[in-house]
Amino acid sequence: MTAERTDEELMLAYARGEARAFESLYGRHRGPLYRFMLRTIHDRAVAEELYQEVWSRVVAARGRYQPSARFSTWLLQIAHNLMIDHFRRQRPQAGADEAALVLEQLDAPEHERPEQRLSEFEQRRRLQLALEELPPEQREAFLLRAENELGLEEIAEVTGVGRETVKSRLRYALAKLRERLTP
Amino acid sequence: VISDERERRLLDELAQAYRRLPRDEPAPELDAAVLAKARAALGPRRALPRWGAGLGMAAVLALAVGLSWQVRQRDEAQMRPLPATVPAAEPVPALRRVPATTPAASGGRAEDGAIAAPKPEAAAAPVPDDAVPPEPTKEIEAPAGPAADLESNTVVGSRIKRTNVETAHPVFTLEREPLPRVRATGDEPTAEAVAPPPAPREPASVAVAEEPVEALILESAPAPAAPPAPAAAPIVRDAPEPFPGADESRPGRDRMSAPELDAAEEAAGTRAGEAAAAPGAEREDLGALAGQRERAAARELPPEDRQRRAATLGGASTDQKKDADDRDGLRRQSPPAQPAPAPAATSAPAPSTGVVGASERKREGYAALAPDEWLAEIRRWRDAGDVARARAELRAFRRTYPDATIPRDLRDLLPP
Repeated sequence: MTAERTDEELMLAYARGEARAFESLYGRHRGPLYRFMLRTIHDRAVAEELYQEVWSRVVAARGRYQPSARFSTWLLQIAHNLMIDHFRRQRPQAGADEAALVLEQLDAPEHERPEQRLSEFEQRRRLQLALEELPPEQREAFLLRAENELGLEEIAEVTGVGRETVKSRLRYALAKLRERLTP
Repeated sequence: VISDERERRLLDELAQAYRRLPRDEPAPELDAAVLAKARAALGPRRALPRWGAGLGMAAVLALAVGLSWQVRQRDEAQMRPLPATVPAAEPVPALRRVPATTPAASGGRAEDGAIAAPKPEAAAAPVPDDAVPPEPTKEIEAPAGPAADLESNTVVGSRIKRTNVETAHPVFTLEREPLPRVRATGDEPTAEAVAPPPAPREPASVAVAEEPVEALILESAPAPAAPPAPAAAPIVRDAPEPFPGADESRPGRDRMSAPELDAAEEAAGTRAGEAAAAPGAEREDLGALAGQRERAAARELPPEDRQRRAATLGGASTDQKKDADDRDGLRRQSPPAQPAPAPAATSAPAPSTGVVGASERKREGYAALAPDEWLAEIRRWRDAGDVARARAELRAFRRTYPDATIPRDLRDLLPP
């Protein structure tokens, strides 16, 4: 019965004091959120710390929660803000020049596509490495699309930027990945 | 997502490649930590009802204990005055019987339990046929609890008053029924009710009239030990109705309105209560013999007279001690009652005179007389042929003066 309820209903139920609603909600989003954060940050310890912090903020904000947006979007938005704060403390963001360079590389020849050149195992390893090398904004946009299957508008909502910015970041991310996956 | 077909295809391919990556999951410890934090956030809300429930139960318990304690304290406070006004030896039954019982019952009141027990004895004793019927006594004994006793004064009194009207037994005429008696005398009822009788009979009347107050005092005081048998004797003593005004008085009483009766009863009760609360020293001033006389008079007086006099005193005098002193003095100065020999018939009028004052004196009882005068009265009853009355009077005399020596000529009247 609890599984049939939407994320928003579960969150409201938890806000009313129903602990089981939170358990259901957590079970639905624990894996994608964890992987999203783990692959965005690259550091498992930091990722887990921030992961806990995300849920702590959800718990603390239960009384103020308004189901005007999807719960997953709200959850990823919290995670995004925390990771941004983390990245800002760690290193400077990628500059516009780097993004332009990645965009230029998107137009690589078809025979250089990674799936055509590398084995599947090698492809997964390289993909992981390529994701780790992506700038945080690009990686985040890619992960929100690949892991959480969000559209441009949702990614823009989560990350707090415009739709076109999201589209640009995705293009940069794809270009770099293709470059890294090309042997 | 991306409008460009090439980019879209590339994105899909990369997404598929990404999904083939290991599906990392948070560690169970991490899950437990998150869930614990979520539950802990709800914890205070859950704990509050438990705490509130406990506090509520404690508050309810404290309230219940407090209320019960208050009620108990109130009950104790209400019960305390009873033993204060009623002697411990005879706490409630005596108080119950005082206003309601007949003089006969009052005479046998000292032995408390004798009220119910001596009935067979009374029946077996040489008592006139028109002696006390047992029913009213049962009514008097009916109240059970202290509160019922106190409240039953009026109720039982009214009931007995009605019984008296119906059965024509003055024995059960309450002390609080003075007015019929007043009407019977032919005097102005109100004048007699509030003022002493006319001059020639005034000393004696006043003396007797004030006796009920003292009688009530004594009745609420510890009753002296009395011989066990005489419970029925007063009944015999009061049983006859030698006074013609008695029956005439009843219609007069019936004509009394309820407020008048209540006022008279209240006056009597008030005086009785004041007298009961008076210091014992005042009573001691009267002397032992006077106390005996008073007690006997209180028992022997017909209840109507006692009631009337109580009412009269209630409206006429406020100084209890002065009343007692005057009463005693008047009684000592008053000439002995001079009743003429009465006919033998129990329903005959008073043996002495047809004058209201003389018959009144007899009805008020010979206990007010000196012992020798009382014995003389007994002789007159005997000589007049009313042996039953003479015996009853002699028994009453013995109760009043248990140490007195009965003259030889009267010993034949004593029961074997």
